[in-house]
Amino acid sequence: MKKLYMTLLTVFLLVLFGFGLVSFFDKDATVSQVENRTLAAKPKFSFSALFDGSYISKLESYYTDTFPLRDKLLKLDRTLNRFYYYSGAGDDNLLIINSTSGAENGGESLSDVQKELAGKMGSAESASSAVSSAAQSGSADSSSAQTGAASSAAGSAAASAAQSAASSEPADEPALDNPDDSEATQAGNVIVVGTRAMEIPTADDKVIKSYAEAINDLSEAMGSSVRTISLVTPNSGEFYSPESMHTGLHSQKDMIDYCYSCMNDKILKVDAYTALREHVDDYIYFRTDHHWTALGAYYAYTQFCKTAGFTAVPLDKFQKGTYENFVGSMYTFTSGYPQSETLKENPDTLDYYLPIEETHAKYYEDATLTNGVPISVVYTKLEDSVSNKYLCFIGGDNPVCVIESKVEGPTCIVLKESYGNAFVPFVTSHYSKIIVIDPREFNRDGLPSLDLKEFAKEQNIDDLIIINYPYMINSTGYVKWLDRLVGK
Amino acid sequence: MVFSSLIFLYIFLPLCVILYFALPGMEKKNAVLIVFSLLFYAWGEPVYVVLLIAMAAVNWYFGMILGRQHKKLWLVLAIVLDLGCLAVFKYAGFIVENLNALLRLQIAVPKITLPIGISFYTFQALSYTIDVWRGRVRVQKSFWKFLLYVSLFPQLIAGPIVRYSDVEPQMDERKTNLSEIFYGVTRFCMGLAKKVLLADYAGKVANQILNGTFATTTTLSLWLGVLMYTFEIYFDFSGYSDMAIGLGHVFGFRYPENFRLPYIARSITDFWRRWHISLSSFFRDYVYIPLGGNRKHVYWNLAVVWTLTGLWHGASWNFVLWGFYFFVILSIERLFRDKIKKIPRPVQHVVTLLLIMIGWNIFYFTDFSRLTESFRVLFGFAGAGFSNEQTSILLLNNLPLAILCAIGCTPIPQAIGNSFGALCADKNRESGKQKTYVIVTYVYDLLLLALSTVALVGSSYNAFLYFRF
Repeated sequence: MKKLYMTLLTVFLLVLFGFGLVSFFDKDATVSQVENRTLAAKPKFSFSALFDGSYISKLESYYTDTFPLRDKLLKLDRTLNRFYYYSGAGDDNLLIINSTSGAENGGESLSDVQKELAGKMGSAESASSAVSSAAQSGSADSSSAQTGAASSAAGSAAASAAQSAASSEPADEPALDNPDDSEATQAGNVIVVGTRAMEIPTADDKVIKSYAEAINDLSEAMGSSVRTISLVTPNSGEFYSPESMHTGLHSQKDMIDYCYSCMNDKILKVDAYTALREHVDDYIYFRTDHHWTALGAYYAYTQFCKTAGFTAVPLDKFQKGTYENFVGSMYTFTSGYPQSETLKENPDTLDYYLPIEETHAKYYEDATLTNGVPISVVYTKLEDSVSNKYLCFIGGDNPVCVIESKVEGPTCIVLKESYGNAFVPFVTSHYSKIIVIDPREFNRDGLPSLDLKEFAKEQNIDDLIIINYPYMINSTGYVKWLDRLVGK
Repeated sequence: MVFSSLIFLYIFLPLCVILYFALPGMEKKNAVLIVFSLLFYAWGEPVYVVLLIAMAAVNWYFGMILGRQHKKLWLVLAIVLDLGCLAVFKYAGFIVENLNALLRLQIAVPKITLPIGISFYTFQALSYTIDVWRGRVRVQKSFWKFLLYVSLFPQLIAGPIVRYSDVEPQMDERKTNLSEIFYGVTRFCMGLAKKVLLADYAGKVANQILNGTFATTTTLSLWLGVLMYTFEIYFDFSGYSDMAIGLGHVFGFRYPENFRLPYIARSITDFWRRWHISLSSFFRDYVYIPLGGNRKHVYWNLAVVWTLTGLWHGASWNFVLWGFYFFVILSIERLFRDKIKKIPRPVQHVVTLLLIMIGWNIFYFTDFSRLTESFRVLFGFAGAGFSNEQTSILLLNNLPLAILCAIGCTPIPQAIGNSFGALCADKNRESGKQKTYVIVTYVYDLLLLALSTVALVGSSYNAFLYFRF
């Protein structure tokens, strides 16, 4: 018996220690493809970081992020999650989780993705330096802070859990630009129903009002010669979710109505909602991605033309192309859960419509409009390795992108998050110059500054178009970026 | 550091165990434990580790003085220092805030982060000094041994509150045998699984619901949230105690049991005999009985004890309310003891459980407006109706977890273990039956460890809509 105990206990200890040794000496991954994120890097030691606790908490998330066999263990975890996120015995595929998408903090651009892909294939060096320098730019921190807090809260007894979680993060941390997790958590849920995943926003009237006021301020800053056109679009949750998720505080129609009602009369408001509602049976939203399809954007565009006094180009006039097998962001977001499998097995198809007019476009890292990089308004030949096909529209989210079109027409600025990307190609039929700006890429730590009033004057614009989806009008973070464009 | 972290499981713990058993002699073994305990604490509190050592030093010193000079002054001084320390580091902000509100003052609220586990180790140190005064334990002359008692990492940050009298003999001489260690490993794995595989998941659901917007929350889903929190707090805390007791066994320490299936209690009085036993017995022995116990002004004594119990859990009024809530129920149970006995047993269980859940709801919300609103939703006066599709999906998603947690709160798991043990029982300790028992238990331990590791890695899963550079 003694021998048996001795053997079993020794083996137990060796398993623990063996894993520990391997974890210490193995080569660390830097990027997780499964999660679409950079993994935590080994923190730099300093006494100040040690004493304020940040060094240890970073070290801990680094250790967890680079644990041996992590990818395999994550896969096992997804199997384990069949138990924790049970979907029913039949064919039902149902899931509801909190969403902390963080979309208000910035998007993804084709150039980033291609750089990343290039790095993976050959010059590992340049890619890793790109990754690590970018990792310092801030947004990656929210994840490490989160796991840090979670793991420290975890161990202490419930009695002191709340306090210790608070104490693990230094209380006097400077007001970071990123809205904290609690704000994001309040933003809504993600649900999966069958083959479709949706974001469900929750109305926060105070924030919606502040969004409307931000639009008012933008309009005022532009002066009376510039028309301000606001387009707030619903997302798929409004049309395809169970009733309780698009009624009451989840009613996107109510959010949009309220938002428009808080805007000045001067501002032109585009009723995209009605047009989309009329076409709910068409393929206007992706099922595996949180965006609308180009078709959805087209219907919004027809309403835009009505409001702004243009004649919309009929759909059949466009030359159309298709990407098959598009599995989008909602799949990635839910990929830790077994319900995502159904999404993967039922990929989306992405149709695009080419601009009618000849266009030339460049993107820029800041508003000085120097060192432009040519891009296409619609990419027709994205590599298979670019999994996010939605990046085919104006190359995804870049700080600034200027499109010149061979059409006689006015000049406009479009302020948008990624919902605007599928919309912009359509308006190339009406504007000779379109300056697309992502407000999330300016006036925050480490990012270039932009005074929109001055910029608009220089560019001599006629219209200011602001296009957003419900998560943004409910986001204090996004409203902040809008405010800062005019120095508020 | 916490037990339920990969770095503890795969680096800290094996290193500590290897060194502990590799080095000969109690002195060296104790040294290993002290060094690792201080490291363990410093990992989470690189500054406050000094406070921990200072508190040990102060109580050790007063213990020495009390040993030479049995004067009440020294005892009072030690208590004032201990509680003063707790007051400064845990309650200063709370006290100043309330003074400001009450007297319309403008004192700057001190921002002191709470040192992890201070409530636990202060009470441990305090119990020693009081017991020396009462003559229940002998004075510990060696500072190192006393530091070992206060800082020992298995019970350092979340209990059980081990009294010096419990472990006094083990400071000098500890007998470990392999079957004890084996029991410790099993107990540890079970605690780890309770924490990682039940509490953390239940907690996720609880937070998802209880932190949500009440206007869109249904009555049914909020009850689900409170139920999940009820599960979380039990499996978290008792899992932690299991791990502590298990680790104690590995190193040869015997810690008192801290939980005895609290949710099968038939009354709140019964519940408090089963929940966080080391805390309630501390308050019983060091506050309630000295105040007069059952002999004089018993309700006053109860009120004091329960206000303090509430405050011990956190510096916020909802904890005071929570303590007072139990004072009221315990008083009622005391007054109507005979009548309550006549109520059918199933009713007693259901009512007790409901009262416990309501208690945890008070415990959860430190914000009083959220607390009030939560009760309005729980009882159907606010929120988004009784139930809706979201609620059904939530219920469906969490059904297996809820069932497993519910089973885990009953005597069933223990009964299964016991009957398996009985099946394998044999007078001959070397028999095949006994070996089967050990091997099956071992496989079970490894399975729990593996599942917990998967879940711990999974908890670092953090997917983004876009690529996050």
